[in-house]
Amino acid sequence: MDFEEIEHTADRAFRVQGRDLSELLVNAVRAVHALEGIRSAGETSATRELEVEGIDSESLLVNWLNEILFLEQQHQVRCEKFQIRELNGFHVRARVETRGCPGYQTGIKAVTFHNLKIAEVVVDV
Amino acid sequence: MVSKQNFVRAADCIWEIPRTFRDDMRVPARLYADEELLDAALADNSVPQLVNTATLPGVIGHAIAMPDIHQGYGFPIGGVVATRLPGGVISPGGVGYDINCGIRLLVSAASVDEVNPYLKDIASSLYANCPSGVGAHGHLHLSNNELDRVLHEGSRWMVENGTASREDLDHTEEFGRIPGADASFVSDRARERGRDQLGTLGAGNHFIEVDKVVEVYDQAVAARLGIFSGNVAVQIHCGSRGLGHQVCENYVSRFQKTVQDYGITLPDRELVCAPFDSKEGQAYFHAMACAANFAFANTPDTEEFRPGFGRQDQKLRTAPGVRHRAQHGEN
Repeated sequence: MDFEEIEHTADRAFRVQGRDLSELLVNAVRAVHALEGIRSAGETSATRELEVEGIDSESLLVNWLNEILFLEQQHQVRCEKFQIRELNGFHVRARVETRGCPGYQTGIKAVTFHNLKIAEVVVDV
Repeated sequence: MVSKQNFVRAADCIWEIPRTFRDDMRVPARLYADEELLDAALADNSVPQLVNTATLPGVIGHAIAMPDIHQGYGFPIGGVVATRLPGGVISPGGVGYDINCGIRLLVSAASVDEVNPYLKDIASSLYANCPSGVGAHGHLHLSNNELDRVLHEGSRWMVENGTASREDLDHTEEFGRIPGADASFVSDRARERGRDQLGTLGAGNHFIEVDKVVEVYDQAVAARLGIFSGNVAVQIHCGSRGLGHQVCENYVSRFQKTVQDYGITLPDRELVCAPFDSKEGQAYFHAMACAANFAFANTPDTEEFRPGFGRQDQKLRTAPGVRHRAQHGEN
């Protein structure tokens, strides 16, 4: 499992993993979607270009997820497929395919830095 | 790790953690709570968050938490600090996401008996006229110029728009407007999120409820507010909606670099800040004031459900109140 919800006293929190930062970004979106639930999925589809940056991997992740949230809530869509076109340091460009999505079970207002830590695990093979 | 043993009982219902508890504390931390509330506060991350607020550059006096302390983002909920001018900081994470959220108390002259026949109508009217939820849109669609006026004028805009009275203004903190707002420091995205959200509630702990006054503890104060046992009041909890959230998001993100530029080290990234009198600090303050004014203006038009409260000549009146999630200058 690439992500799992973890306990939080008032809001929602999750742990997510990926083989690299690109995969982490995409899996984190899936984790957010899992927390939000989905009331219904529409038929329409569109492709959008996203560009996000941060000063480190944590800020990139937060900014990326908040960008996704804004896109989805303002345009009532769900980001379904991702193509990371460029990941240069802490700057990412991505192509995102969206589908109409009029509602969610749990609205997420923002992603925060609270208790956020990205750790790398290196294994000797 | 903070435990009960780290606290000193300074007085009845006042507990303090001395500045020497941690090297980066600049002032002591103080919690107003009885022992039961103290034990509850120690069950989550709120006390360590209180200690963290004592590390902010320029903090003076004590880093304080009120009896409603519980875990927040950066600051604990119920946390209050003062930073000196000049040189002290302003913190978008400290102010928080729902800028200037608060509870508004509206008092009616009607008794429960007078209102009871209309409760169904009031409930229907509330549902129809008070949209709520993340991203919920209201009935007002503001142009750029109108939104600018809301951001600069706050509750005064409501008076001009006919949805509030001058008496409401007199009973609102800061008379419903924080000076220093400058909409040029509010991002297009924040404007886009807030443009259609006036008159709406958010999700989570936002609410609007119709209350019966069951018991009056202080007759003299209640009389001045027009409150009596058995009458009906309305409480509304809301704030600056998507606009305030976006302002906070924008500046928490931007200040991740700013703290490095000013050589500020913090124990929690949600506490990012800038010197209040710096270019960056002032930019956030101008935007924060806009979001605060948006929150002041963000209240359902009570005329829509006032008829349910019986007498047509009686308006719902705003009782004096204090809001939270803002940073003010004080002498």
